[in-house]
Amino acid sequence: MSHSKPRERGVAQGSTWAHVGRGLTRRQWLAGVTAAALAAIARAASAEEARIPARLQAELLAKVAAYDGGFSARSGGRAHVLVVVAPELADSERFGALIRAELAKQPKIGGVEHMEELVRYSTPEELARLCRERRAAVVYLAPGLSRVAEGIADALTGLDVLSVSAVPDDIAHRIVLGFELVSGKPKLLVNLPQAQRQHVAFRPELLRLARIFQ
Amino acid sequence: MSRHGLGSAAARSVAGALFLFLPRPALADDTADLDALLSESIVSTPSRSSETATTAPATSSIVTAEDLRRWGIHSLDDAINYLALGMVTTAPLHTVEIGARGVLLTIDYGNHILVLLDGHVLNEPWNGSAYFDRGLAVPFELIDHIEVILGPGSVLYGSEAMLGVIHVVTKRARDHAGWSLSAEGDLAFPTQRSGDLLAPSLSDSYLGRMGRGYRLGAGLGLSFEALGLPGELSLGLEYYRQDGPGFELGPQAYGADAVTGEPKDFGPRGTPGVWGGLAKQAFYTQIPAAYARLFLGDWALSTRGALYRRATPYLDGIINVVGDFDAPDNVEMDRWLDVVLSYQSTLTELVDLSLRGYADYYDYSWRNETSAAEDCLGGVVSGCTQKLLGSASTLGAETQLQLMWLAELRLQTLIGIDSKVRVIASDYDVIDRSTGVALDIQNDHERTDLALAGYVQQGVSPTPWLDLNLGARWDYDERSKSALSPRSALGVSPWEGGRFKLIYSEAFRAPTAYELGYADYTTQISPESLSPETVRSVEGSIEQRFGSQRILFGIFRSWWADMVSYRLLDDQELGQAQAAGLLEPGITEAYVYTNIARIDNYGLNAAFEGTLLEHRLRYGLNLTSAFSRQDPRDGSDPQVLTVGPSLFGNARLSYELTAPWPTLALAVQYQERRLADRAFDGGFAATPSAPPHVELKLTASGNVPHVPGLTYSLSGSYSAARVSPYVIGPWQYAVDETTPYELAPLKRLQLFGGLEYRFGQ
Repeated sequence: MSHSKPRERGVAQGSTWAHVGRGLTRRQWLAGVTAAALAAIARAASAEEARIPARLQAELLAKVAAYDGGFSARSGGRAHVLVVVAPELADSERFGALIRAELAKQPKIGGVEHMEELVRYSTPEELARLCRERRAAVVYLAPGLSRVAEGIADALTGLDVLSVSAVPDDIAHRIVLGFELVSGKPKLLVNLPQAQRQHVAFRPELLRLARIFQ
Repeated sequence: MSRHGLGSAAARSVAGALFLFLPRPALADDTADLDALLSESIVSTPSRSSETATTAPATSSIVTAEDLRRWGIHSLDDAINYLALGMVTTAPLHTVEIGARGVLLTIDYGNHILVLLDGHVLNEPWNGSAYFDRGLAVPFELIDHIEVILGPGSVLYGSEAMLGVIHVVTKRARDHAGWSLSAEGDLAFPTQRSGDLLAPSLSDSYLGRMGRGYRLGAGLGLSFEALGLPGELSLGLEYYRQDGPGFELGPQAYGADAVTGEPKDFGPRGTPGVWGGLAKQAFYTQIPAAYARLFLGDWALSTRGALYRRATPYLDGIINVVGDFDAPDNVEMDRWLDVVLSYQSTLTELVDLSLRGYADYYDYSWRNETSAAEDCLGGVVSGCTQKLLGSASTLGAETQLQLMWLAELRLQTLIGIDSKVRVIASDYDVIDRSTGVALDIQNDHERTDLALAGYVQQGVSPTPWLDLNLGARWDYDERSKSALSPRSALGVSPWEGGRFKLIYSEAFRAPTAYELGYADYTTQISPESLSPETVRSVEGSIEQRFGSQRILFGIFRSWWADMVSYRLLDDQELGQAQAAGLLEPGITEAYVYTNIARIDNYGLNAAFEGTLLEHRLRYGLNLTSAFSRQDPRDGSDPQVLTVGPSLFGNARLSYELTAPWPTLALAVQYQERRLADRAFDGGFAATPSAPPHVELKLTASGNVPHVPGLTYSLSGSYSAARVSPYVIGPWQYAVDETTPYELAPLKRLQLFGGLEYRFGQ
């Protein structure tokens, strides 16, 4: 596994990233501008929607993770789930809070204990750095990040992490796992090439239940 | 105990069958846990938010677009009868009637069930009518799924949601990207007077009696970006046309016209004094329909325009009580034009705002040609044309706030305000055929009504296995008194895959403008006022999932009060009405709508569905057994309800063969013996009733080999029953014990074939 060295860019964080300084440093100022730009972009992209309720998404993830051959080893006995939200986008923050709470209600995810952490997106590189730092087993993207999904996929390539999106369109943008609503029923979406790049090895019986993006 | 009761042999048989079919744990494959979740239905109707049917505060079933294709379904009533739980329709060829859980109120024009199209009410504002056959008038390929919600639903939707709510949800642009074209044809085979199928032949007479229909459709799903905002357009266009089959009706010897003393004139295609013959001109349907939804950012605009024109080939108690035989000009027509503009946005992490404004136009026309003097008002001896026109315009707005307090407790509050103004006009004319002059009838009416409502709903899950949903809605309607509709629902998941629900709910139906205003000078005056009809219901259910298998068992009880019924005017009231010019002086009896009847109803629901063999094999079974008794409160004894079945259900089985072979599907619907509409008031020596109704549908569907994007569907339906529970012909009421009755015929054998092509697939 090759981990690139984290670069020192962008530090906006959620519950653990939030640094409210006495004065703005250049880095914080840049982060603020970035966040504002992201918020504007995300506003325009507010049609990005989670079509499956958070409660069911959490239940599905808890089951699906068990079909990832490397999940248990990756988790190290306790899966760390990063829930990533678009900063200052209300529906993204909302969904992030919902999915974190719903995941926390799951007794186990992929058969192992777990903990959830809500983080605010800044850059793909920063997200990748955080994944390595936290040894995250799952990165869960809330709505509002579709326009940066490709960048996130690039940054996560080579890492040992399962990326999941609440927005079905993101799977075409190389997020590994997603949930779609097809005629009133939930459907799994899997980006198989990207799964391999992130060392996610879903078992064939799961892939038979999913719509596969090649 | 009555054969309709909970302890009936049929119910016990079904319970036993369900037990036998219960999958053993050993059958669960590796993905059983995932299958259970992936077979969940997502509904949005019970609490106005997206949730699984299992956790929703209602008993519901969902029919998906895939189901419609797989089982060869062509209309909403087919979907209900073959696939849904707890609801049932009966088909007197047109004006399909609907009931739920043993309560079917004949001649209610569907106004005890609320029908929604993408959240917008389709029940028209004049009489609350909704259509469940092709007259739903929604382009069929555009339907994504249909949510069928059982039980009172006024807590969030107001008037008319007494038996339940049917929500038709259309596809988003991404679900049907690009252009598509569809074409479908059907043949209905003619029957003899006995109901037996005629022996097929190529003779002109046989082919001339054959029923023919076709449907042409086009669809577009387009995603785009405009003004820096993501947008999408969904469009569906459709035209449906049906003619025939021809039916042999009667003969019913009627005798002399009460006015002229001559044999009653049944028009140019009738025989004087005798009703009946071969009716092959007066059974047709025409439905052009268009529906479009445009999304841009947080905004959505939808519009629907449709027309439903039809003729029904016999006299009955619903549409044409009188009229010439097989007269193609005895026609009904509904027209709709709806525009809905909505805005939905997440204002803060806590608050969602939803705004919706709409303008609807609707009109209805009924035309009846009769050559008989006795069917017209005094002095008209050479026949008349009756015309009833109703029109309604609605302007409405709804504001909704959804508050998400604590994600950990799933603490959600929904607050809404709903308001609308309806302008109704009705015009009834009788035109003397010989002079072309309209008679002087003072019973046209207009009214403008305001309706206001406020509602609140609170959901909370104190523990991961417990869900509570409490809500109430207060409605004020100028047509009647205000109504309060509470609901409380408790859901418990005691173990993996198990779910208990306990629900109490109330609902109402405000009197319609038609009920308040209709009068026809010869049989009916309008009431001074009416109160809302109300229903209270309590139900409990248990559901268990075993992998992709699901079993549900539920019991329910409901109490209905203040049901609007006809009441015979007493002599004093009759005299006063005549003195006021509301009734023709020579009339000896007339009616008025009044709140009077009560209904007591209880029963059980059961459902079983699942898949096997990697989802290639699908099956399902729904069954409802109910006991319903109506107390007319007019001094007569309580009676069971007519037309609707007490025991009904459906079963289905399909198998998906390996491509290029088709998916084969067989669906069966069943309704037990039903009393006909004139069972109690017809006065016939033998009580009219329709035998058990068994109908099956066999379908083959799949992709056309070597033509990407082209799919086909071939199906045939066969009804073992010959008649439906409606007395037809001029003898709606017996004059003595020798008066015969005749029941409405059915289309017994139909074949369907359809193609759909998606460009760029």
